[in-house]
Amino acid sequence: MIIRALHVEHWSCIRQLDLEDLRTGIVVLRGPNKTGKSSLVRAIRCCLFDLDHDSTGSKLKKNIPWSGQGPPKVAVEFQAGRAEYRITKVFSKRSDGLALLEKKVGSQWQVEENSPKEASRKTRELLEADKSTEGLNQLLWLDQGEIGLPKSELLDASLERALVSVLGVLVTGGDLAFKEELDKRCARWFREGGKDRPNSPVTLLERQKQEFSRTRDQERQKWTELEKTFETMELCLDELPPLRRLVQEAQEEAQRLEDEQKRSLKRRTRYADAEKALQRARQDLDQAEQALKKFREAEERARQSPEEVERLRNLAEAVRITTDELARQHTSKQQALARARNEEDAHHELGADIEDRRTLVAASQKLLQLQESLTAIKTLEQKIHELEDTIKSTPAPNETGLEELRENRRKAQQLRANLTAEALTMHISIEKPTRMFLSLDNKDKELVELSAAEKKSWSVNQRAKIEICDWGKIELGRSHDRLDLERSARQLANLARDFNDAIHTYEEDALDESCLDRLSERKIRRDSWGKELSQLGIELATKAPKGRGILESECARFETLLEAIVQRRPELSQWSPNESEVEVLRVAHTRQTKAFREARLQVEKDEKQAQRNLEEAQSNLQAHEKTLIAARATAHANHGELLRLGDEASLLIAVESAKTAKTEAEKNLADSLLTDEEKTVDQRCDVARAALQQRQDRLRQMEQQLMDLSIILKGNESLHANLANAEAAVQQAESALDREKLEAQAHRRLSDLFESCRESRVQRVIGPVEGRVLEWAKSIGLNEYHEVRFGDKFLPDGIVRQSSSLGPAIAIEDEGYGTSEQLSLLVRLALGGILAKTEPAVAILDDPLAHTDPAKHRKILNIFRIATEGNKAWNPPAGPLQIIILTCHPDRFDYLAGARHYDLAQLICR
Amino acid sequence: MVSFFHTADLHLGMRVTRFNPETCNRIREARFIALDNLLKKAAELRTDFLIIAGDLFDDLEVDHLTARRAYEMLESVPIPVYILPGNHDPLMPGGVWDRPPWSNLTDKGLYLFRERKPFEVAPGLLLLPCPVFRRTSLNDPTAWMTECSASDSDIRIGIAHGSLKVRDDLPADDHLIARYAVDDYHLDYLALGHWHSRRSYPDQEGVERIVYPGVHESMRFPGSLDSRSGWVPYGGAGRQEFVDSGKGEVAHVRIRIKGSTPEVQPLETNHLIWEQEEKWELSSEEDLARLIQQVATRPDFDRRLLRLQLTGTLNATAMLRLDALRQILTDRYFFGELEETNLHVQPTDEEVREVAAQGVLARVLEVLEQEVNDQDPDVRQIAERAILVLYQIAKETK
Repeated sequence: MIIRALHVEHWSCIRQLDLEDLRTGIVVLRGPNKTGKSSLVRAIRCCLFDLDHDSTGSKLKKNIPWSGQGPPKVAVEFQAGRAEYRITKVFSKRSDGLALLEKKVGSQWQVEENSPKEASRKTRELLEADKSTEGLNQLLWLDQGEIGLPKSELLDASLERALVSVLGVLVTGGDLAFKEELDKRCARWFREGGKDRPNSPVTLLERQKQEFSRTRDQERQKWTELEKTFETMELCLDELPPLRRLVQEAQEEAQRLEDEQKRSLKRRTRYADAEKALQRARQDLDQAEQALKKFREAEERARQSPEEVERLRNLAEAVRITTDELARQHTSKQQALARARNEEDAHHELGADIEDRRTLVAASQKLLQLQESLTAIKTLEQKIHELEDTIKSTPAPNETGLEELRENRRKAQQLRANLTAEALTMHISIEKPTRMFLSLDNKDKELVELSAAEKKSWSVNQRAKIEICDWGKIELGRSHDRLDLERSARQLANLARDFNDAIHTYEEDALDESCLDRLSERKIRRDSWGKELSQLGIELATKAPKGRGILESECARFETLLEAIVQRRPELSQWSPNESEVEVLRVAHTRQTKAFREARLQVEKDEKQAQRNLEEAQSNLQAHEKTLIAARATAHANHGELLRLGDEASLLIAVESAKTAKTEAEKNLADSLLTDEEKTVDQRCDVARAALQQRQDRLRQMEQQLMDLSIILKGNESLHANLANAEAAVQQAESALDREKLEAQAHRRLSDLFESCRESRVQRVIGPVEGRVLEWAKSIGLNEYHEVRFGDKFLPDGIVRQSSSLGPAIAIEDEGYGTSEQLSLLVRLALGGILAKTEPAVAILDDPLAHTDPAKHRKILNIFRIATEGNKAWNPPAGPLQIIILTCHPDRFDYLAGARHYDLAQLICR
Repeated sequence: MVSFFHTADLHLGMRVTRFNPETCNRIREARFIALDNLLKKAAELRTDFLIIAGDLFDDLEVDHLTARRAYEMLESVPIPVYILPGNHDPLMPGGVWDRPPWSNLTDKGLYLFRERKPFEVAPGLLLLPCPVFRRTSLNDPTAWMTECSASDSDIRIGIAHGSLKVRDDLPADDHLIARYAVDDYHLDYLALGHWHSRRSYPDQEGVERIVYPGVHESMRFPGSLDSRSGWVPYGGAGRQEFVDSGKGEVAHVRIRIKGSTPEVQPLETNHLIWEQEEKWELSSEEDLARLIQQVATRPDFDRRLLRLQLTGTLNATAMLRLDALRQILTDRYFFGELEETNLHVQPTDEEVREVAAQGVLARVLEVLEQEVNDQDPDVRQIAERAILVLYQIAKETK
């Protein structure tokens, strides 16, 4: 459709408007706010789609003429197909209301439909939409402030159909419902994003299968072990009969040998008895010979004992005599030692006396030295006190203070010079004596008396006031106060005050110009006294580093020491301490001390030697006495033993008798000798019994093993059923798992396939549109976008930036206000152009691009121009558009080549 | 005349594993029911005694309940029961025979042969039992009979468990029995156990005196060598001898006098019906409907085990109807199983138009249909299932 003309009467604020000869391309309807632009858009919407001629309600009320004249009337001439039509609607429920559809034939309008309802319906049919917000209008007719694209779910069905008819099917409703249901089913196994759910039936079945398999494996393990048990048992059962036969054979052999043993028992007993008899005879002979030998030895010992006792007694007596002699010698040595020690002690007493004298001499000398030092210290302290008093009585500033005072004077001099230079000089000369009061620079007035012809001058900084008695006042001053002079005067006064205060501190007269020189002299003197004072201090510190008190206490201590010595040795009170005398005494005493000590050590040594000799002799005596006692006891014992052993003759007879018995026993043994079989029968019998025992043990072990194995078998009762049940459970779990896995895989495959097919279809269908939008976006300077991602409804889900080409799409409305509007408009024009392939379409943009900067605005106008021209060569081809722009900023659209501009302010009659 | 039942290989407590645990238990239970059938028949026919020629139990480690239940059932019958340990339940210390109640038999109608020695049932009737002591053995269990001299008047019935050496390729350790032991030991009848299908063999004079009675309750789907139940014979898996006929039977034997030809009559005892695996070629919804109808109307389905192997190609709607068939098999049958690896889905054009005429789904379906022809069977399987899911959801959400 292309709108050719508009005729509006009594519509909202518009009393009359006639717009003729509107063409394809761009039409700019300009006018300031409140001109009626939006009312005009509403008029087009209502006339073509939204209102019947007899409509009531808010939509119409909104457009009731402000003038109150006539019913609203709107006529729109439009081109649809190859024909031109005109729909005229007079909105009134009365008889004057009408809706008339006319068709242009040649240059004449012919009524096409005069039934109002039918005329309205037919118009909508021609325009392929029921409402002004449906069909292509949803994309291309934008009210003021409409920025973004419609939501996908709100896309008009007729528009979608139209897009499908041109672009092809994208995603059907059936597809979406299918996917929704598929997703629900998939939720049984998968989470969003396709990952397996932790508790999906597949996982649970896998766990169950693992658990069952574990149980089955355990049962199988038991079964395998049982199989081994069977094998072992079969081996045992095979081995048992031969083993029993072997036991039987061993028993027979043992029995046979036992019989043989019994048969030879008598002969073997006789032989054993003969052997024992011979043994006994040999033992008896040994004993008899032994007794005889002992008797002879005892006899010899009894003979020797008395001689030995006598010898030992003599020896002990000699040792006792020696011991007594040594005891006497030891006593005399002890007495000599006591004497030597007494003499040494007496000599020590004399040493103490000499030591006291030495102390007395040293203490007297030290005390004298200390007293001299104390006298010198006191002299020094007195000098220091005098010097400190002198310094105190002569105050003077330090170097800094002195410098500050000099600086004060320099600054004061400088300020004074400045003030003098800047000051006015007031000269007064009077012809006759006059008294006057003079006040300079706001100071207190002072009385001035001038004699005749006397001339006097004053300096004036700011102003001067002169009161002449009985005459009047003269005031003079600068036209503008010199603030800098006032500031200088204040500074000068402050400096003078500070100076006076400082000088008075040092008891000098501030007015005296030489006061500073005197203060400098004072300072020099003070500095010299200070040096002298510190010198004296150093001297004092050298003489008494720890203070005078310490020296005084030292004196007292030595005095006390001297008194103590005199008190202990009163004979020294009259003695004049003499160091050389003491030294002579000390040398003599030392020599004598050494002699006494050596003598005493020698005596001590002799005494110890005597004691050792005595102890040795006593010990020797004891040993001899013990030996003597032992010899006497031995002699007694030997005598007793001899008596006990009897006499030699009887012992000789016993030996002869034993020899005879032995000969007899040897003869008997020779008579009862055994054969080899008789000798070894016991041994062979033992071997046979051991063999029997071993075989019986083996048999018992095997029987025990069989019993153990049978117990194992008994303990595994039900294993057969348990294994069967475990295997059946695994089988069942595997089947269930296979089924569930297949189901899950089929659903996943379906879901994946659906997504990939949808993606490829969307890409194929909408790809060219996306390409066109991207190209246009780049041409207006939106270079940062890599992809416009379309969804299931021909509208973008979002856009992807170059920087995140693999990342998620950003919603267009999340971009800036201006960018969002520009991109949305490009999408609208691209889709609109595609739908206008066979029939031009009209876009009505009420105040578009309000948020676009001038540079982009200029570029986007070029897109408008391209869109209005369309291009059959594009893929998909685009038809021409008529773009009607309503704006209150006409200058923004000046650069639209070929656009037709209408000034609504002039055309609309209000 | 002597009349007795000869059975073997009851395998009570059988180790079945290839079903769900509940079905496994019910299959084991069925063997007791079949034993009960057998005992009732023996009582009805007033036979003189019952011979169980080995493998009463599936293993000598069967559980206590199985052992006791078997004992109580056999003890309660009014005729003597002679039991021979077989290779599955050999006479070994600690095994089932060494545990109560079987360790305390008191000769009151229930006899367990623990030794190889003649047993006189009645004057003129001698049983020569050959109990098995090992799972495998290179020895002929009947060899001991050489020590047992024959009389001209006694009816001699040998009882053994092992493989009759009818050919040379039998495993040497499978308790091989001399082909003409019946002649060698002057037997009137050799009651054998070990092989699971009913077989009889003649003596040197052509009289059929050697009999394997088969199992009293089938153990697998007939004709199938693969062990679909999970049970494995100790004598060697996969051997034809251990494949039963799909029926449960007992041999009713009558011997009139010494040397007469034994009359052997098989009697059915089974409880469960193991159906031959059925292969169905399906190409249309009608085929499937027929199959469902056929399966749904079979008798005794609560005792029936059925495996259906489906092949062919069905459209998506029909494939979804397979659930109905599966439901019937699961809910009504003792056990039912569908093998549908070779049954493929091919949605019709109409179905495609209905659920995925345009849009993304159309493309998804297109890709899946390509994947159905992929080389990789896993891809094929997933794609087929995905097509069904697609079709199902698309229909639901339409």
